[in-house]
Amino acid sequence: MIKYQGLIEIDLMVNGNLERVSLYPHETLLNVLREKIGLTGSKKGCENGDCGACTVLLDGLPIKSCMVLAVEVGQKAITTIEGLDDTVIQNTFIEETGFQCGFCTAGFIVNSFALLSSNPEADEAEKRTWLKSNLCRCTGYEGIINAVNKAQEKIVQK
Amino acid sequence: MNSNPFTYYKPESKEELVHLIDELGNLKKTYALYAGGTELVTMFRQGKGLVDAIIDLKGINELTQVVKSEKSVIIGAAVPLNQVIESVNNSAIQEALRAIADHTVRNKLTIGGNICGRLPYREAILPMLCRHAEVTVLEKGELVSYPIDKIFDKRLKLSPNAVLWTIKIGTQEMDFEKSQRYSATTEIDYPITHQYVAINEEKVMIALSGYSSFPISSSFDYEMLKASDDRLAFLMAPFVEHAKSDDRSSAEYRLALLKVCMEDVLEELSDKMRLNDREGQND
Repeated sequence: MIKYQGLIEIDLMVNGNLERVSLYPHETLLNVLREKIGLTGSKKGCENGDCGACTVLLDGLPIKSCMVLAVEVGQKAITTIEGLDDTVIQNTFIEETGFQCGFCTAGFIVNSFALLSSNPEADEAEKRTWLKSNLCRCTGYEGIINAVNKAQEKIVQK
Repeated sequence: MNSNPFTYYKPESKEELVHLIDELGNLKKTYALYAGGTELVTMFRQGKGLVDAIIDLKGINELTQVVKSEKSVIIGAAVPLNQVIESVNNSAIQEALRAIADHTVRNKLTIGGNICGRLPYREAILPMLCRHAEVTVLEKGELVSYPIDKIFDKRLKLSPNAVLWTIKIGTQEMDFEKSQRYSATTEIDYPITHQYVAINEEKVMIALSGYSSFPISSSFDYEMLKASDDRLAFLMAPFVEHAKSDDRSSAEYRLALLKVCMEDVLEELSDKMRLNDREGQND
């Protein structure tokens, strides 16, 4: 049985790198990524699981890192926005200006990456279901949708 | 940031879990069972529900698995809702579960957490109630099974230190089965009312969440519905007095939504199940 109490050290696999971090069991994955590992791409928005700005991948599945304890993901592969550099979806967000203030962008890109990895031929209903997990307070949804559709076209063509 | 300095435990077997719960009890330590954690982590951040220990159930295989058979599935209490949706080959159940939270949260939010959580909606219970699911509970070191309607009354009534283990639910086709959900503003919000109706030639089963302060359900013979002179009033009768008013909706609006839903049900039944066929008369 695993037992963690007080300040502990654990290993986290983040973007393919093994990171040894000191943390308390109550610390969220979001906090550890930002404050202990220095990966600030995942944003602290609502901290309530509503906005999706903190979305990261755990073994390829999108999750909201503000609602996850870091101690429970020690065995899993964590992918943050920093791990998606120069991906098709990142580039189409730039090409289609799929952002305004940019605060929500990392969450949208991570979630869209997972969607198109899981089902490159996702239809409109499925894309809508997935993307409803993220909020853009600038309401820049048109550019976001265009970016996802363009990435999907490129991925399917490949 | 969450500032609850608890101890984290992750047992890997039923025996370890039983021993741990006993040990924490002897030490007079408070604990919370932790599966998806979506509710608990948020509560801890707000300084609510603070405990000495959390017990992560995801180390126990039986709690994280879905076992499928021809006519049913047995779902571990710590299985995330998206995994349940993928495993249950029944569109009405899938629709009811897809209405809970959002897609990303459902990768973490578990079926046991939704049913046993502190939020009053517990929408995952709706198809379980209508399909008379069987729940298995770990209590006093033993696994004991109950029909869900014997153990669910406003909430799942578990004895102290008991743990929801698995849920067995039938997946066979019903003659009529439908989930309808209304929220105040966006789709991803708590429900004003979430209505689940399942009907076969013997029984009519209706369960509601969001409509009153807790999930409620009713079940009666299909023949009674058929014989009723005012079927709409008959379907609504068990629920009328339970409509609540809150900042999302008035009781009158909830009643109106229930009426619309039940009218839809009656209309579809008249086509599908020849509801209007009376003895010696087809109309």
